[in-house]
Amino acid sequence: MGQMSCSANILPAQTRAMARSLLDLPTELRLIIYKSCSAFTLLQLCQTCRLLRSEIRNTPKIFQTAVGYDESQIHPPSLTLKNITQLCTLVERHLAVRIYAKTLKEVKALMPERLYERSGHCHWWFLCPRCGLFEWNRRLVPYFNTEIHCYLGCRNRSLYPLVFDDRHDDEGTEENGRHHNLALNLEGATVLQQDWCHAGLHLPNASLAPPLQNIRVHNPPRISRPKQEIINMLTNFKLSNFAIFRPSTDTSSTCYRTRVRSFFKRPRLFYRRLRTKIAKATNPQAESLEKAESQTRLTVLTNTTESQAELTEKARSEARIPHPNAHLARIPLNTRLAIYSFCTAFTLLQISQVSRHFRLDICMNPHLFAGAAGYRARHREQAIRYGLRHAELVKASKETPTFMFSGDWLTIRKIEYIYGKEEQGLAKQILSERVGLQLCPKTPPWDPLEPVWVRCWHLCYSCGRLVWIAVVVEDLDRRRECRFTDRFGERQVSVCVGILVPLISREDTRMFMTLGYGECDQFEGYL
Amino acid sequence: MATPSTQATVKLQSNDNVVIEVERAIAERSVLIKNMLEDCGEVTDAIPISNVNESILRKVIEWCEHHKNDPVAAENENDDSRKKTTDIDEWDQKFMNVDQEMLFEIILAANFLDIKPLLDTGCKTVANMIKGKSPEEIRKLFNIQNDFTPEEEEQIRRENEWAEDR
Repeated sequence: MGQMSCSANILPAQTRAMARSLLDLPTELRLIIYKSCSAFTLLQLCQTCRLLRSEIRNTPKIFQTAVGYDESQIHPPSLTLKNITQLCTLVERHLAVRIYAKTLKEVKALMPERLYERSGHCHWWFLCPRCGLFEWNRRLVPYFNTEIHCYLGCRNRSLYPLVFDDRHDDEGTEENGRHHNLALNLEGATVLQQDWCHAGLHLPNASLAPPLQNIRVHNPPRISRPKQEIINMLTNFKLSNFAIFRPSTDTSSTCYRTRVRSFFKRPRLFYRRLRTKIAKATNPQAESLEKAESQTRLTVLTNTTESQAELTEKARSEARIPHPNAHLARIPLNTRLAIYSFCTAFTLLQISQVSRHFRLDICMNPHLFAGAAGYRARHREQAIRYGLRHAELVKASKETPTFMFSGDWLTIRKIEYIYGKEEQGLAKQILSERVGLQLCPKTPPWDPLEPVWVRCWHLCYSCGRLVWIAVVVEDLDRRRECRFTDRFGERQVSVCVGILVPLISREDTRMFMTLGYGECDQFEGYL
Repeated sequence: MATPSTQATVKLQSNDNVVIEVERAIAERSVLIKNMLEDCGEVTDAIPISNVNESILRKVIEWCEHHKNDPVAAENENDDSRKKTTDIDEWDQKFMNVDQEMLFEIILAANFLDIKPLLDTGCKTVANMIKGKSPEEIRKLFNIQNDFTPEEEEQIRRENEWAEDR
C-alpha cells in the first residue's frame, strides 16, 4: 500500500488524473468506449498497458466490428496492423504518419544502403493520404520509393507516405530479430532508382560493404537474381564518384530502354520543349507566349528571381479581380445546384475546373455527380466497400480545404459516357491540346522492344462511351471496335473508337515513338 | 379561416413600385402567390413582389400566360426523370434568348415566386450554355476568375490525365 502511494506521488497530478479517469472506469463502460473506437485506435490502445490490451484482445468482437478492420487477412482473428485496411479519419492518418513514417529524405538516404535478399521484394506499409487506404504490400526494391497508384481506394495517382518496413512486427513495434535484409553500403553514392540494376555495371571495383558481415541474417542470401549476381561480383567498395547513368553522355550501356526511360523521366519538360518546337514552326509569335507560360510554370518547380516572382504575382492578382458581371457565381447556391442538376458528369467535371468556388460547390455535394448522366457507378461501390461514405468525405474536406484537390471526387476516371456532339467535340479538343498533335502512323518496322502497356481512354464516337483500358503500345491504332452495347443497352454496336493517347506525356509511349521513328516532325492528330 | 375566392384578377407590385394586374389563374402559376391568396382570401391591394423588378416581372408573367394551361406537375414527382433531359420547348428557347443578366434574374424570380417549371427551364438553359465548353471557355462565358494556384491546377491536370502506364 505504501509502495503504491509512493509511486502514485511520483506521477504528476495531471497524469494521475488521466490514468484514473480511464482505468478506474468499470469494464462495462470501457467496453462501450471501445465500441466507438476504430481498429487503428484500438491497436494503439492495446499498446498502452496490460489491462487495456487484455480487455481488447480477449474480446475479439470489439475489434472485429471496429471500423477499418478486415478479418479476412489473418486467422484466427487478432488485432494487428495487417488486419487494418483503413484509417478512417485524418487524425488517424496523421498519427500513423507521425508514428511510423520515415520522411522521404530519410528513405532516399536509406535506399542505396539496403539490399533485400532473395526476391528483391520487401513488404511495406502504404498509407494513402487521400482515402486512408492502409495496405500491406510487396514492392520491388528499386521502385519502393516511386509514385504508385491507390488502385483499391481513390484510384488516383498519389505518393504514398512510406510508413515502415518489415523490421516491425505485426503490431507495429520494432523487432530486432526480424532483419531479413542485407545492407550494401555505397557510402553516399547517388543512384538513380531506375538504374539500380545497372549499378553493378558501373561499379567494377565495388564490393560488399563491410557492415554486411556483421548483420544478423536469418535467411542467407542466395544468388538467384542478376542483381545479386552483379553485387556479389563487386570486389572493392571504395568509390567516391559514382557514375550516374546519363543516356545523353553515356552510350556504353546496351539497355536502350533504360536510357530512354531516364531520358524521359520528366515528361512535362520534354512535352513543353516539343510544344515550343511546334509552336515556333507554326507561329513565330507563339514563342513569346510560351516563354511567358514557362515563366509562370517554373515558379512551381524552381525558385525564381524576385522580379520574376513579383511579375507573376502581379499577373495573378490582376486576374483575381472579380468581374461585376459574373452572374453565375453570384446567384444563390441552391439555384446553382439546380443548374448543376441538369448537367452531365463530363460537364460537371469541366465546371469543377473553372474556379475554387465552383469546385467547392460540386465537391461538397457529391450527389450532383453521383446522380449525373455518364457517371460511373462502379466507383460508388468501391467507396462503399472501403467505407468511404460521401458524408465522411465532405466532413474531411471541411477539415482540410485542400482535400478537394485530392481526386476523391469527380475525375475523368469516374466518367463512363460523354453525351452529345458538343461534349464529344470538347473531348476531342482537349485531347488534341494534350496530345500536342503527336502521333506517328502504325507502319512497320518497329523496334523489337518488349511489349509496353499503357492505359488510355477510348471514346466511342457513336455511343459516347469512355473506356479506360490497358492496351499494348504496339497495338495502338487509329480505330478500334467498341464491343460494348450502346447507351440504351439494346443492341451491340460495332463502330469506330478513337483512342485518346497523349503520347508525349508518358515515357513508355514516347519511347516507342522515338525508337520507331526518331524525332518525328510529321505530327498527326489521333482523332 | 380563408374562404374560397372568386376574384378574377390580382395586382402584383414590383420592387420599383409598378403595379401589374394579371389574371388570377396566371398569377397562381406561382406557388408563392397561390398559397398567399389561399391564405388571405380576397386581396384588393397589390401584392408586393419585393425581389423582382418590373421588367423581370413582366417577363415572368409573359411566361405564365403562355403556360397557363399546362398541367401542374405533381409535388412528389421523381426528380431523376426531370434531370436527365435538357430539352427545352421551342417557345421557351426563344423566351430565354435574353442577355445573361436577365436570364439569371428570371431564374432568381422563378426561385422566389416558386415557379418550378420556369426555374427548370432557366436552369436547363444555363446547363445547355455550359455544355461542351472547356473550363477556360466557361470562365470567359460567365466572367469567372481563375483562383486556382498553379499547384492546384497541376493537381487537377494530373487527376484527369488521359493515359498512364499500366
